[in-house]
Parts: sequence; structure tokens; C-alpha cells
Amino acid sequence: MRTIITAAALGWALSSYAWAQDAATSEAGRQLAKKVADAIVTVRVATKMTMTFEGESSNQERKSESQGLVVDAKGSTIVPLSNLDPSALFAAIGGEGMSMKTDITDVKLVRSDGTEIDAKIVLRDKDLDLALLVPTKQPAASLAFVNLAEAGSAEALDPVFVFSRLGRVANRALYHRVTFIGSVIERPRKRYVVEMGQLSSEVGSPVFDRTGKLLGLITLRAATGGAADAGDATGRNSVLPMVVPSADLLKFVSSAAAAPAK
Amino acid sequence: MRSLLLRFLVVPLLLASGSAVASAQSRREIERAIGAVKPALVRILVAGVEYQQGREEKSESAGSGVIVRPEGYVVTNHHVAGWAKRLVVTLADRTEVEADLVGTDPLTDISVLKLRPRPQGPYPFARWGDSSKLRVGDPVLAMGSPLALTQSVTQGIVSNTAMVMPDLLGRVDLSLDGEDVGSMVLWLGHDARIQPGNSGGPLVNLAGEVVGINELEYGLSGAIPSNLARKVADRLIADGRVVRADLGLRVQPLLKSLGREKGALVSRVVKGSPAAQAGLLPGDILLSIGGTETNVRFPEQVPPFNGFVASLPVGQTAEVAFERGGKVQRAKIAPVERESRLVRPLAIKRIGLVVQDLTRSEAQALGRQTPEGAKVQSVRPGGVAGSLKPQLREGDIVVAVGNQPVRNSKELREILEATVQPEKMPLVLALTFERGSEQIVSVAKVERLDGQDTSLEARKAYLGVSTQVLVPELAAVLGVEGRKGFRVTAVASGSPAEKAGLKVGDLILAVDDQPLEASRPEDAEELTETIRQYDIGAEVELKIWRQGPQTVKATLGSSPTSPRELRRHRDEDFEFTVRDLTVQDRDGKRLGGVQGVLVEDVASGGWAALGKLSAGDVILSVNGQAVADIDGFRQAMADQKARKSKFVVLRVLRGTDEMFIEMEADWSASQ
Repeated sequence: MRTIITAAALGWALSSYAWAQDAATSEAGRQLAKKVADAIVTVRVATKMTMTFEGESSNQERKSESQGLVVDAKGSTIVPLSNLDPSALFAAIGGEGMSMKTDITDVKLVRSDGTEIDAKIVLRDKDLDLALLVPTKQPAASLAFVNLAEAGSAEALDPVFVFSRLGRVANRALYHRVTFIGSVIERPRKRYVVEMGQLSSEVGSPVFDRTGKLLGLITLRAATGGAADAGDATGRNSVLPMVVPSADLLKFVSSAAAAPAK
Repeated sequence: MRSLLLRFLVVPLLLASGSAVASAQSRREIERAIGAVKPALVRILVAGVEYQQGREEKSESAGSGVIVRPEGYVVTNHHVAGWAKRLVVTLADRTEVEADLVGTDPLTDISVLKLRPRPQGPYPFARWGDSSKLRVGDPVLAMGSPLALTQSVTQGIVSNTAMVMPDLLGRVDLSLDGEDVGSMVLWLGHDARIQPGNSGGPLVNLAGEVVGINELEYGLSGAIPSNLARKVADRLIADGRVVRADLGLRVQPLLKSLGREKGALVSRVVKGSPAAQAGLLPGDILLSIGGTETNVRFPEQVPPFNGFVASLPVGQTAEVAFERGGKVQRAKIAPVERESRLVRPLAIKRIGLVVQDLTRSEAQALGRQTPEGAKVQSVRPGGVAGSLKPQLREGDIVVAVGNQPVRNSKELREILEATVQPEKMPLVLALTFERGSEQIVSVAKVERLDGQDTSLEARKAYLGVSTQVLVPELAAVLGVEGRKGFRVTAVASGSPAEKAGLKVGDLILAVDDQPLEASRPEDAEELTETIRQYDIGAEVELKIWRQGPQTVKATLGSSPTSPRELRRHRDEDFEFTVRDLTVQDRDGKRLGGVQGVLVEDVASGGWAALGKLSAGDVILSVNGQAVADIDGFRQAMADQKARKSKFVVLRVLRGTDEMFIEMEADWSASQ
């Protein structure tokens, strides 16, 4: 009997500890969300796609929404390229004899209060699956942003915060989620894998470590060359959402300044 | 049962006994019939238009037709040629002649084209036959260009002389541009096989006469009877259109519960129509019009009734007799001209909107007093119209722009083209539209028309080799067991790798003393990723294996310009885009030092597509004028335009083949 009581007491103590840790995590997540919410914006684009099959082409246009992360006060925003431009992934997974060319003809940053800012794409990186957008006119006031220089870090099974902007149907509310680092990939370049949420597409969502620093942005990683297995019906060897670390994001954004103007 | 079996067995035998004589005779008849019509048989290549996503798009299709007059009048289907912008007809002798659309009638699915005159004089033509004389079992030949093949013939028998779409399988309509073809046409069903591409081709009897125009395949093949097709074609040739009478009523077969065999049940009377003015009501039994009895007991009798009504003289009063509550009543009825349902959409390119006028009957069905307004057909998602809030939808009726009322599509286009001008931007555009019983104002802030995607690709350090992973099996084959890294499979021309002296077959094992670990297909990107960590211009030392260990030094370059960053030129006259060649194009297509431009896209239905130019072709010259790059190509095409050259001949490389592409020019529409 004494053993049972001791075990029960220990169990209660452990679950209380776990509960206390969860409550603290939740509170930390809420505080972080308040800080970064306005930097997580909706990106609306109009895309003109030219599909060529057996030598002849046809055009189609579509409008789509994604989410992006504002990374400076002028409104520079990073977003997964594949969310804006399907041709970015088409080469990796497209069919034989087909090609796709896209032009993004209209870009708007939609803030949480519904205001829209005209923007344009200035830089693309297919390898990182990233695009850098900048407003076509300097915004009247500074925008909320997440500082890429304050990079976070994490190990496998560390808890992380993922924030997403829901769609119009949910009044573009912020979606909060705590999850864990499922995998840390070291080669050929560092990437994190987190379990993806069910409620919204989280490609384009920022991921923060437990201290509230930016770990990276979720983009799609498409395998190329021998790593892409055409015989794999599940596609698990071809495309996977992964977190591009903050350091790579910073390098990408910095390289825009060095790129020649067009 | 036994007698049934006997009958199935005996009949084929009986047929077989006389078959040698019969087949020789029928073969001669078939050959004569084919010989009579084949010279007049044509294949029609159609560059048409389609309207979708707020814009007009060209499309390509092919069909069949038959010349019915020596002046070159060709009868085909409306669904083949009714939306044609350009028609190229291939005659039986394989010569190509351009043709013009004379008139089209969606209600009977008949169009008439006229071949442009030719120096040789009149065209061979086929004679019409009398379709009313056809009997079930009569042999017939379906002639045309199935699947756009050259002129072909299939054989069958008449299976049904009054084919309607069956109600058994649910309501099946053959609607074309708002017209129900089955309300006017009783098809000739036959079992001569037809395919897409046969549409518009003749159905021929053994006398070598056209007894039908093939139109559809629904289990059986279906042709429009020649007596109807000929009547419609004659009207189209004479007037460019078919004038029909309308009473504003619809009939259906008599109900069994009515217990009668004569008359037609009036099912609908259109408000304000001649039938309404004559006092007719749904439920009346129509007995006669102008002294002609009207009997509709079966679905097969509806099209002849509609044909009879359509043939009444417009404006000429006739007596109508009908029965209501057991009493026969008589009234005067004056047919009006039937309104065509064919409304051609109008693309308003500037804002990316396609609209069309409403017909009177459409307005009535919507409960509107007037057909004024412009009905939305489609919206371009990326255009100004696509940014209106709330969004416009198909079927909305635009009634005003700002305070200016809109009466029709043309007026809407004029107002919008005057309002939405680049020099007036930014501007606020407000359209008022009707959606059901609501009247909604939709607004957009317009800051610019089409945005240009001028984004650049991120530049990375670049070596310029293609590689394969040195998997253990490959390492064993190459005699370097246990080593990891990459085997060079190609070296890009002019790349840092070429300058460093790397060759196909070299094994790259380390970069700056950092050993490469690649040994599985999954490691394919290790070398590229390793190189990308360096700055552009950095010098790296590569440990390689070439019949033994060696070291080479390479100065890393910048990743090559991607195709989307290159200069390109869109030729709006012929509708294709070209761009400069990249190093990758040269290596991939083994072009070496060839000068030219790469065809990036070819719009379907455009003149270049009709000339069979293909995306991926490399253009070497334009009408003999060599082109080295985009500037040269642009200049060469401008020269042809200035000269208004009838033909523009491109010399192209397609794969390893070299060929000439001939594009016919139509400078009349050129800007």
C-alpha cells in the first residue's frame, strides 16, 4: 500500500510539472505571437502561366494567396517561391514533354487589418524556394517586422512555435501552434523538419525557437538529380516542407542589395 | 425458339449465296458514288476564337465539308466553322485554299463558307439528294476527314430516319450557342463510322448525292437531313442568315391522359408574344395554324412542328384553332421574326473582361423589363476586372460605370476604354451590376494595368559541371573501390570547370581538402551545395581522380543567367515568343556556335502555330535573312512587316533536324 501511495504521489508531481511547463510554453507563445503577429502577412498574387505541350502553348491566369514574413520596416517580405510561382517546382515534378513559364503580374501584401500594399518580386531563389517582395512605394509608416539577424536554434525534439495567417474565411486570424523539431538535416545544407499542421497550409510560416527567436521559414524542398525518385508514388522522396534557417534567409535577403537592378 | 435460331442462321447463309454478284455490283455503285462526291470533299482547318478567363483566345480545330456550288460554297457544321477567324480548306487534290464564313445557323448546326476564287475556274461540287426518300436499310457512305486525316470514306446503312435524343437516359440536349438543335433537327441515324473531324462532312447515297451532313455520334452516327441542310444553306448563301417565324409558344407531345390522337399540347406561352396576344394558354390543345393541322403525339413530331412554325411568313396574320375545356376556339395570330440566340462575346482587353449582350428572351427569363446591360461571360483573374470588390461573376449584368448607364456590351467597352487610361491612374473604378434581385456596386482602385515580372534570380557560386554520384558499384567498376564523390558527366562550355581543365569522366573527391561524402543517389546535391557556400570569384582546389589522384584549381563563376531573365521578343502578328540562347541551351541541344533565337512559346491557333512552328525550335533565319540574336530577329520581322510579305519562311533547327517553316501572314489586323 505504501508503495502505491508513493508511486501515486510521484505521478501527481510529474504531471503537475508537465502541466506547469505547458502553461509556461503557452504563455510564452502568446506573448511571442503578440510581438510578431503584424509581421505575418497574406500575400496575394496574380500569376500568368504559359504551359507548353508538344510545341504549342496555352495561357491561364490564377489568383492565389500565401503567407509571408515581413523582415524590415520598409516592408520587405519573404515568401516561399513555390507558393507564388508553381513553375518553381514544376521542373522537379513536371511531366515529360511539358514545360511551364510564369509571370507574376500583380503582387499585394494584405495586412491583418485588411489594408493592401502594392508590391513586386525582386529576387527569387529556386534552391531555397524563396522570393523577396518589396512594396512598390515606400509605406507611409514603418511596418512591423521580424529581425532575421536574431537567429534562433533548436535540436531534435525541442519545442517550437509556428504561426500562420488563416484565410478570409477565418478573418485572417493568426493560427498558433506548438510543435517539436522532428528532424535536423545537416547535409547538404542545414534544414529542420517539423510536423505540419492540419488546419492551414503552413508553407510560408515562420518558426520560432523556445526563446522566441526566429528559427526559420517553412518552404518546400524539392529533390533534384539522383535524389528525386520518379518511381516513388507517394512523392516522399521528391518534395517535403522544411524550415530554411534564419542565417540562410538573411543571406538571401542581403544578396538582393547586391543584385543588379533590372 | 428453334425457328428464331433458324432465322438467325439462314439469313446470313442466304446473303452469302448471292454475295459474289451483289458485292461486285455494290462495289461498282460505291465507287461511282465516291467518285461523284470525292472531288467536292474538303477538309477544313479552323483558327477560331474562344472566350475564357476574361480574354479572347485563338484555338485550332479541324472538320469536314462539301462543296455544293461551282462558285465554291462549302457546307459544313456551325460547330466546325461558326466561330472561325480564319479558314484554310484542303481540297481533294490536296491544294489549300482560304475561305470566308458566309453565314452560320446554330439552330440547325449548319454553316456555309465560300472558297476564294482560283485561277483554274469553278470548283467541282456535289449534288444534293432528297433525304425524304431514304429508307431504313439504304446503304450510305460517310465522307470526311476523321481525326483530321486526309479525306476518307466509311460505309453503313441508314438505321433511323427520324432520330431524336432519347428521354430514357435523362434529358439530353444538343445545345449550340443557346440553341437547342434537337428542337429543329430530326437526325438521320446511320452506322457508318464517324469520328471527331467528320463533322460537317457529307452523308452520301449510292447515287452519289449528298443526303445528309454528318454531325454527331451518339451510339449511332447522326446526320442533318439534306432537305433541311440545303434549305438552310440556300438561305445563308442568299442572305447570310436564316429568317424564321416565332409564335412565342412551346408544345409537347399529347399526354396519354388526354385520351386523344390529334393536336399538340401547348406547354408554354411567352408573355407578350403573338401566341399570348392570340389568347393561347398553357394546356390548350393546338389544332391548326393557317389551316394546317398540328399533330404532336410523339417526340419525333416536335421538330417538324417547330420547322413548320419557323416557316410561317413573318407578319402575315393566320388563323389559329385550339381547344380549351372541350370547346374549339379560333383566333388571329401574327408571327414575328424569331430572335437569334447567337450572341458573340466582346473582350474588353484593357480591364480583362468578356461580356455579351442579353437577348430579349434571356432578359424575359431573368424577369427584366429590358435587355439593356452587359452580361459578364468571364473575368481575367489578374486584370483590373479581377480586382473589383466584390468580385464580378459569370452571369452578373453590368448596368453602369460610375454614373454612366450601360446599354450594351459595346457601350461598356467604349466607356471603360475612355475611363481606364494609363495617364489617368491611379483611379477608382466603380461598376454597378445586377445579380439576381440585388444591385451591387463593385469598386477597384486601379494603379496600373499589367505589371511586369522583372525579378532576378539569386546569384550563386558556380562550377559548371553535371555529375553523377560515385555509388559503391560505380566506384568498383571504375577501379576506385571505397572512394566517395562525383563523376563528371558534362562540362559546360566556357564554365569555370572547363577553364580549370575538368573533363568528362573525372572523379571529384574533395573541395579544398574537405572530402565529399556522396555515395548514394540521395547525395546528388552535395557538390553543388558545397560550391554554393563559396563566394562568387573564390578560388577552390579540387581533388580529382583521373587515372590517379590529381589537383586542379578553379575560380568559381556566377551561376548563369536563367532563361526567364533573358531578353525576349513577342511577335504579336504571328503570336509566338523567342528569346536569346543560353549556354545551357547550346550544351543541351548540342548547338555549338550556331547563331539564332529559341522559340519559347507558340500560341495555339496563332499564325505561327498554323505554320507548325514549335516551342523549342531554334530560328536561324527569316526569309533568308540570318538572325544572330533577339535584336536581329526583331529587325528581320520588322522588315517583313514593312514589306507586307505574304509568306514568312523561317529556317529552324528542331532537335538535329533542320527545316523550313512557312507562315502565312495576315497584316490586315497588324497594329
